Amino acid sequence: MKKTIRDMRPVYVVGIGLHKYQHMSDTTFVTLGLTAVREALRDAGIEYGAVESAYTGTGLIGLAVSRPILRHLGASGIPMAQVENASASGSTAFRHACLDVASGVSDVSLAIGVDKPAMLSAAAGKTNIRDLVGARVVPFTHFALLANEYMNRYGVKPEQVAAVAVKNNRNGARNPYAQRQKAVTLEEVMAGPSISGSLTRLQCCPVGEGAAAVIVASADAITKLGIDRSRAVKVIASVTRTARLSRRQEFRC
Amino acid sequence: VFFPPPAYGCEFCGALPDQLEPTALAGVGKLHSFATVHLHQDRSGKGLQAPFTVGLIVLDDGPAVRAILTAPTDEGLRIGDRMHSVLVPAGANDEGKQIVELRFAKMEAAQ
Repeated sequence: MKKTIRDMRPVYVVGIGLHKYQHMSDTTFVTLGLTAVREALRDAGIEYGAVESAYTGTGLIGLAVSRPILRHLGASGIPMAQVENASASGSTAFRHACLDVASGVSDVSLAIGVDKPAMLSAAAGKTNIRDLVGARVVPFTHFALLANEYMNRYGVKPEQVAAVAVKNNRNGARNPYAQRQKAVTLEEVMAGPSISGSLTRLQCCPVGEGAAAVIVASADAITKLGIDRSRAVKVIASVTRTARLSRRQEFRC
Repeated sequence: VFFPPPAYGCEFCGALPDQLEPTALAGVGKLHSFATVHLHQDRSGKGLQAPFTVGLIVLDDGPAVRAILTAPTDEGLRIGDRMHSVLVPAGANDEGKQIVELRFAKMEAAQ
C-alpha cells in the first residue's frame, strides 16, 4: 500500500544553518554552501562524518554542485545527488533527505539549498510548442495574472495583497539572514514602481544568492550520536505535487 | 481542444500525436484575468516594449490562452469583457518582411 513519511520510520530535523541571502557578490557557491552546512552541523552538535547522504537543491549554479562544496568537510564517500526543481529545489532536496531516513537507507541525511543568479532558461521554453506570449510573460507577470484572478474572484483589493509584502518585510527586518532587512509601510509598498499588474517592486522577490542546510536523522541516530532530543523536530509531512493539467487549460465554459 | 496544440501527445489522456487532429478556433472568448507589464527587458530592442498588457482569455471553444492585448494599458478593461483575436503588424523579420502577431482586443458593444 502507498505510504507517506508519517507511516514510515520517524524523521527528525536535528540541525539547521544558513548563509545570509544577499545581492550577487564575489562569494563563491562553495562559501555559501559550506557556511550553511557548518552552521547546521554545529547546531546539531555532530561531525560531518556522521552524515550518510546529501541532497543539494540548486537551479543555476551548474552540474554536480554537491561534492565541490562538501569535499572541504572531509571527503567521506557518501552518496550525493543534485535536485533541480526550479523554485522548489531546496524543499525537494529536503523531501529526499527525509525519505532516505524514513526508509532506513540512511540514519543521518543532509539537505542543502544553494544558489547564485545566472542566466539559464527553463526547459519548457525549448519544447517547440509555441504560445502567443513567449518570453514576454516572465514569472512576475505569471503571478500578476494569478493575483488579478484571485482579487476578482474573492473581492480582494490591491492594498490587501500589498499587506503581505508589509508582513514579509517586517519578518525580514527581524531575520539576520534575510536579503531585505528593512520594515516598510503599506504606503511605501504601494508607491511603486509598478512591475506587473498590481505588483510593485517591494511585492516581488529580490534576485540574490544565499544558502540553507538542514540535517535530518532517525531516532536511532539521535540516541547513538547523543543529539539533544528536546531540540529535535519531527517531520510530519513533506509532499511534492504537480499540476494535473496545464493551468491554461483548466477553464471550461 | 487545446491551444497551443500539444504536438507530443494529449495532456488530458495521453493520446498519441497521430490520434490528435487540428481544429479551427473562432478566436473569441471572455477575459479571465489581465496584467499590464511595466518592466520588460527585450534584449534585441526590436520586440515589444513596456508598457503592454497580457490577458488570459477563455475561448468559447474551450481552451484558455494567454495573449498580448492590442491596448498597451488596462484602461477600461474588466474581467468578463468579450474579446476577439486580431492580427497586428509586429515589425519585420531579418529579410525585411512584415511580421503579424495574433493579439486580442476588446469587442465593441455592438459586436
